[in-house]
Amino acid sequence: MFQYKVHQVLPNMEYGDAISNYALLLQQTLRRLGFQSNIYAQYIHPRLRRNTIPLASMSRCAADEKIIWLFHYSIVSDITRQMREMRGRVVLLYHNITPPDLSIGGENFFSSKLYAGLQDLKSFVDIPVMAVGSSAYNMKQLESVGFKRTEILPIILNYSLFDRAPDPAIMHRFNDGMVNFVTVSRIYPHKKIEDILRVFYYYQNLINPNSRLFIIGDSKGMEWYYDQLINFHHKLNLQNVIFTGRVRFRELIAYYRLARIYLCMSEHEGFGVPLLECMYLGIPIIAYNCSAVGETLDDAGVLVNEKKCGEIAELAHLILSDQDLRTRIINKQKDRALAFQPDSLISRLQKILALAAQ
Amino acid sequence: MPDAFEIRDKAINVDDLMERIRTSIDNKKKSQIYIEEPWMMQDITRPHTGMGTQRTADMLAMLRIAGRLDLEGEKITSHRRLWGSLIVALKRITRFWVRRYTDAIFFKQNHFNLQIVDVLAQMNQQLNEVKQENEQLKAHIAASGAGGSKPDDH
Repeated sequence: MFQYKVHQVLPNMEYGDAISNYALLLQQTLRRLGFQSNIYAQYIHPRLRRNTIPLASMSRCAADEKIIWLFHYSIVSDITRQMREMRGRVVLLYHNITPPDLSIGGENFFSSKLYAGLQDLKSFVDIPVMAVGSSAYNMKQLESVGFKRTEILPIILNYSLFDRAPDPAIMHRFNDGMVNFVTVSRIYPHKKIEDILRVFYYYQNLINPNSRLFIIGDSKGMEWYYDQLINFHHKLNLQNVIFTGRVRFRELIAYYRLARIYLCMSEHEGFGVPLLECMYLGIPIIAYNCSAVGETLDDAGVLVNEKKCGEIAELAHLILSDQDLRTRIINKQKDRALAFQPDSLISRLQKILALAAQ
Repeated sequence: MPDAFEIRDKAINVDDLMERIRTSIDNKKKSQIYIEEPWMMQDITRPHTGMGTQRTADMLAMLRIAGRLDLEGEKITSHRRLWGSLIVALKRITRFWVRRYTDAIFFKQNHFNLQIVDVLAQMNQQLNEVKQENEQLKAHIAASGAGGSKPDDH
């Protein structure tokens, strides 16, 4: 097995991005297991240059058959074409592509990129020796596209990063006794941020006006949807709703530390990394039950099957006010979070590599 | 039919929680403070101006964003450890001198792009007005034809 090197390939190594962090953690785990392991990427954030090699250098290894290439797939890119030229064994690590019809009308630039991603994936079916989904939901999607040999390898998280000190300025500014709700995601239509605003409207107007909502995430590429959300939030006349935009990691930790409850009303999640983060940090989760959300939470958190905003807000109030209920939910979530540490997944990773090497 | 909520921890009594929630909502309804306005539940990704109009508006918004040329360009970086600083310096000098010639052209292009989008937006608005007028006229004709006199009557 150790005669093989195991390298990872992905389009972008972005600082703070979930897939990039996962790639770094996977690299550490692979090296601990004794494998020679590099990461190749098209775009490399300056802070990640120490850990990543430019994609152009990958061609030097094209003829080497003793390489297992872990190809992270979440967006269409030229890498698919380059992977065809590799003599080594390609394993697709699939992080999910949002169905194009969940973005606006399926006829805009973002939708076309999603559609192109799915077509690109279909064209790639014959190349990898195995396709690995980060959840059973993703694995089923791979099978529906035509991949024959599939496995599951959940995303792992380096929880120790979240033990770092939070941003002091944000803690000072918002640690004022208000009840803070939080949601973390890209500002994309399928994330249904407007449903979170509706739930918060009910909570703030009919239960507790002394409350605040942090909406953390980047709206780049979806500026029109962001405008719609701002208009909607003004129409609802909500107070203390903060759209933070993209935040630095220590700022994210600060918002998490201030949060008393996490809401997720997204209608499509391939895995849901923020759910893991909240489970570890002890923030009770209320999440809409769709795609891979139920699988990621398993028996932790609270799953919502119907978006009745009044009932969800009342449930949030119960979780915030009933200490016994709150403690039970948090403890269950912390147990569940342990399933996503590197050590918990080593055997599964080794099995996948062994199968790939056959 | 699935329950509204699922809490898979068997130690938590979901029925009891639902009962408490429903009681609270009922009390608010009785006090007439529970308000559900239809507009609050509208799909905000589809404002009610018609699908075609919204699609054109989205495309105009995207054109406006795409039409803005970023004159600064990508950040100049180099992944090389030893020669990186020198490469970055050379790239910066090159960009400086190239921009002395190209900036004027890009400014003009930028201006043109934004003007074109404005013109398209105006044309789109005029088209919508004409469409509306057309619909009103059709409705008027249909109403006249239904209750009005026939040609043979004269």
